[in-house]
Amino acid sequence: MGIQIPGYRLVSGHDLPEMRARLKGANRHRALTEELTLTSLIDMFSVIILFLIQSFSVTGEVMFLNKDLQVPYANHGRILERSPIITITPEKVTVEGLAAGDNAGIEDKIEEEDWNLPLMSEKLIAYKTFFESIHNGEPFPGEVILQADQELDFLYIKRVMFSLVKIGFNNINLVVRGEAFPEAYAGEEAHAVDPAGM
Amino acid sequence: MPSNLNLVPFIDLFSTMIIFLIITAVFDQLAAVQINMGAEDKPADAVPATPIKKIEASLKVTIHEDSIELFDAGQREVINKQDGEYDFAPVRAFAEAAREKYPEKKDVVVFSDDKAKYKDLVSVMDEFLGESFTEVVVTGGGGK
Repeated sequence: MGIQIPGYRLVSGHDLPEMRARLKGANRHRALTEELTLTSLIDMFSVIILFLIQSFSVTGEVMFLNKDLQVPYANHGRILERSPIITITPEKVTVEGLAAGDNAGIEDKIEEEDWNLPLMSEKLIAYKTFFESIHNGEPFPGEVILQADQELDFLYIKRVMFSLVKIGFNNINLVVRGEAFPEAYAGEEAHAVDPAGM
Repeated sequence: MPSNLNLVPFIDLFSTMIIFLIITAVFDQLAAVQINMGAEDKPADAVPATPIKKIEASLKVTIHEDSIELFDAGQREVINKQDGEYDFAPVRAFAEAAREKYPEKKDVVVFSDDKAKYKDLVSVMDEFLGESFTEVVVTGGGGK
């Protein structure tokens, strides 16, 4: 074994002074238990709680957005209330996640003749019957939630609106991204007429 | 003799609150722009498929695929798409001017072409709702 260059060695007085002091017994008077400094922990908790309370919603999550949809943004939306969710994509129409209509070849369909969505109508009428059976005497609000991608052509929306009007679902809530204001409409609503423009 | 504040209950409370708030947190802020078809008191089978509400508004907006036309009692203003997007500031200015001109008015008609984008319809409605035009009539086809 040849001669090797020695590495760094601990030098008393420069390295580990705390350890040396302990070995000498200088800190024998210290308590066996150390107190944690909790101030920073409580500061962090307070900040987290403030952030979470700020983003807290009393109405909860009414619906989950389809991950493939990018809904449009609006500044003057109102609070969403629970009602059947209709999702429109270029391929199909779904009610509560279940397929309820096909949008393939929609541009070739003739308005008013081929535009009906019988399966969607059937599901919504079943929902209406159920609502009326459990809310004795309460007038049916006829509300639906409609979610669609912001880049979708109005043609697809129009077809669904056309079918909704026919079965009496007159309150259509377009899902938008943005803060909801309960007083946004002050009890009044936007109106729409015959979606086919007839 | 100095006495330390007992922080253990604080930490317990904070931990519980954090867990509760994280579970109930809503990170997607969603809202609704409502369209009312104007026949809410009628039963489903009594709703006619024919036009429900007669359009009489003097304020009209037509959304085309690449332009927006704003009409106010015969006056016409056109906004064209720039770089594939609309600038909605003129629509906002139009709504503000209309609000000053018609302080009591609430209705505006929005015609939308089939090829118009859904987001443009919502943005136009949003601008008018911002000026308290709460009766935004939405219909298909290009109106003049």
